[in-house]
Amino acid sequence: MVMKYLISLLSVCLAVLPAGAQQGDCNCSSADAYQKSLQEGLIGVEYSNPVQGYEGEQYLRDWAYGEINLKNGEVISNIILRYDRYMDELLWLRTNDYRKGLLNKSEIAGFRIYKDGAYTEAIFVKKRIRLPYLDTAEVFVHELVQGKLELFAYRNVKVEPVEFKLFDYTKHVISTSENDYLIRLRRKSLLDLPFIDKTEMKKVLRQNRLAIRNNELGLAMAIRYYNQLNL
Amino acid sequence: MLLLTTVRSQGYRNDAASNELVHIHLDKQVYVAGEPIKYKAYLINTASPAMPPCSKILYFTLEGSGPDNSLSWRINLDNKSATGSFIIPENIRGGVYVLSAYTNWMRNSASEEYFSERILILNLASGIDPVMRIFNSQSFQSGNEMYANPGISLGIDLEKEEFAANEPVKLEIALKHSNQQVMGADLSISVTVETPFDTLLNPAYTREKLPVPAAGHNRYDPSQACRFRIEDMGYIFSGRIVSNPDMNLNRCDVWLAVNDSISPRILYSQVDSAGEFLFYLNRFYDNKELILQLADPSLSADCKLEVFLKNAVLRDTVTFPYALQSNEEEFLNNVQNIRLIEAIYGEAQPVIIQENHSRGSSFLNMPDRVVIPAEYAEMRNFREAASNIIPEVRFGTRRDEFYLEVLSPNTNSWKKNNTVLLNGVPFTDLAYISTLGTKEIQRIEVIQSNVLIGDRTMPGLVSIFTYDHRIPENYLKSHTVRFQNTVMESYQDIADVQQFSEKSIHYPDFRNSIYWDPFLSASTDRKLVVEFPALLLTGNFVIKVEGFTSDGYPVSASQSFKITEE
Repeated sequence: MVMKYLISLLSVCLAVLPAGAQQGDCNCSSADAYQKSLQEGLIGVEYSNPVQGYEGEQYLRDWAYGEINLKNGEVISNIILRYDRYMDELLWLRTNDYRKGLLNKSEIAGFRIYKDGAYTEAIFVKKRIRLPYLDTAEVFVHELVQGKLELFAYRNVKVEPVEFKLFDYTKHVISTSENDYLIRLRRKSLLDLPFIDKTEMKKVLRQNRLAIRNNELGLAMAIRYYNQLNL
Repeated sequence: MLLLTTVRSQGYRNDAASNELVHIHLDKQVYVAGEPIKYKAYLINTASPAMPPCSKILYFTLEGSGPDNSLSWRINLDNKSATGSFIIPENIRGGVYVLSAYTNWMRNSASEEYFSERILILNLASGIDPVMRIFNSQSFQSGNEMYANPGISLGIDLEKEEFAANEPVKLEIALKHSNQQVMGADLSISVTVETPFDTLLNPAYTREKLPVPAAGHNRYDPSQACRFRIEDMGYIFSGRIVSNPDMNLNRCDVWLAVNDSISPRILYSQVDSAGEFLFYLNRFYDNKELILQLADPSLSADCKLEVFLKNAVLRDTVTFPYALQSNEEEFLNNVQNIRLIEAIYGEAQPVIIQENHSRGSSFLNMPDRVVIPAEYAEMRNFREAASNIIPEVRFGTRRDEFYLEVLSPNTNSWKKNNTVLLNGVPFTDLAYISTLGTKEIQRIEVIQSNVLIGDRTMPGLVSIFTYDHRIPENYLKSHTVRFQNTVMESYQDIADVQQFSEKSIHYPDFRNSIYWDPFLSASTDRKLVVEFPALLLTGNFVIKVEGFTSDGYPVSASQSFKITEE
């Protein structure tokens, strides 16, 4: 028991020591003050909801802490964010007066949203995907799988004509190093992709008992397992 | 033929507050105004010498005796070393100067921790004064001798002692480790004529001859240890608001802007309870004029902005007259003559303007409306332009005062906002704006919604970009504080400075600094061979090799040789 305690104490010390050694006795790193200055100096246009009163899931979850990766490499962390699915825009909550700001999308490379301020719940990156109505615009896509094949979800909602409703218009995109492919949540749609080895993918689906039909998680798991194969 | 070499190796002590060590290798010690000081700067984090340093910015101050006789500049550092040059202004006063180099973090330590070295600067216009003023200071670095690390040594192997003019000089540099461990070193080499001022420029001599008065305050105050932060996230640009004591400083927030013809890149900082403001600037702001002003212009009568400068201040200085010896005067006359010859025959240093690839963030959203006045009929002033081509903006006079209103899309009401962005800079002089017509204005952008800037809310925003990209000088003088954010070029490797190659035709060649290569890379498993021609100037020359091993330990060696007539 004592031995176990000593080993755990030693491992904690070893984990902590190198970080301390980096800065020496005097930890004068600017990281905190730098973050504070970025947070305090945020600029955006005040948000007004263009589909106020419409039924449907306009936002991706509630306000949550997150961080923004800017195109110039800077990261602004610990700010309260929300993703507007209808406008495909990132909102920021100014905490001193609870005004909602619309951040400049052209400066943002991506963002992540934390759950309970701890682990990452969602990572969004800005990406150009080919949809007829998007033309060449870049949109925020939810990153579901990273690797050789990447899976993204464009979590859009659209207005139902006349009925003041928003309907889910989520599109899934599989990206290879060369191209992006729209995919429906259907087994056939996955197997028909030109870069997928049908036999191997069928094996993955069968072995892991994965259903794809209207099952985003199943599709993500299938792509993740497929990426692990040495093909 | 192996000659005796002076070998010195150094190690670390860790009692400084900053844990950073700066070393500068200069190409020579005696300069003439107008010449570049070429240097290689090394920055080591003594807590973990093998790792890149935390600080990314290095400051230099060149200070001479007498009032207002100092120059400052800074460079960016991405790694442990960088090389660069600083052209000494033609109008500098001749005399002994102290070159100091330090990081912002090192400012927490006593200034004795800064790198400091004496150099002699001559001015062709003022000639040589036979009596020179030499000064000493408490701030002078006590030297690196204590950093002994006997395991590592550097040697210079020169094939002979004497060379004829124009004869090639070949030398070998050997890095040795007592444990036969394979390691590399980042080195620089300078070969200069031996000066009679070695003693005079040596800190030990002046310490002995010039006892400085006892310091009136503590050298290092541990309670202030983290007052100056590491500049690891960008250049820290800070200052404070000076106001009367009754003033609520929380209202005195500050804008920082740069003149920009593409998009406004304003930054905002709230002042703290002590009235201090702070900006972290990325490299986009390098070599730009920073324009600071109060976010609320009505407070400009009560609040004044003051920028904190980071110049090294030599303290407790003492100066004394020094009568030049005949050999010293002769040497200085020679240096001046060589400079005159160089000015005529020497190849001009190519000026390389490094492109600023860094992007600044413009958090202002895309405008709701962009108007190009040139696409419309000519309008003489902004009032005409606003009423005819920008329906979302109302501009005019009311009770003898100009006003500007933006139509809010949400409430469909007109909201007053007397601040516009003129060429990217917040601007409140609407009388001047009223004079701008379509001949002056290139582009007008309008954001109709409220703009949230930090904790402020602006009811809409109008950006005006003019053809001349200028802000009226009167406005800048009365409403703003300007700061020229000058950053000298620095280079990390030789590929960056191919244009500075010494191989260019250089005839007649009488340079007193005959060789300078800041990009040497040595290793313990092979000797480094360096070749350069002995020039027309005869006399004794000194080879100095300085640098740091890959483990972050300083090494240096020096060797003398003679050039005689052919």
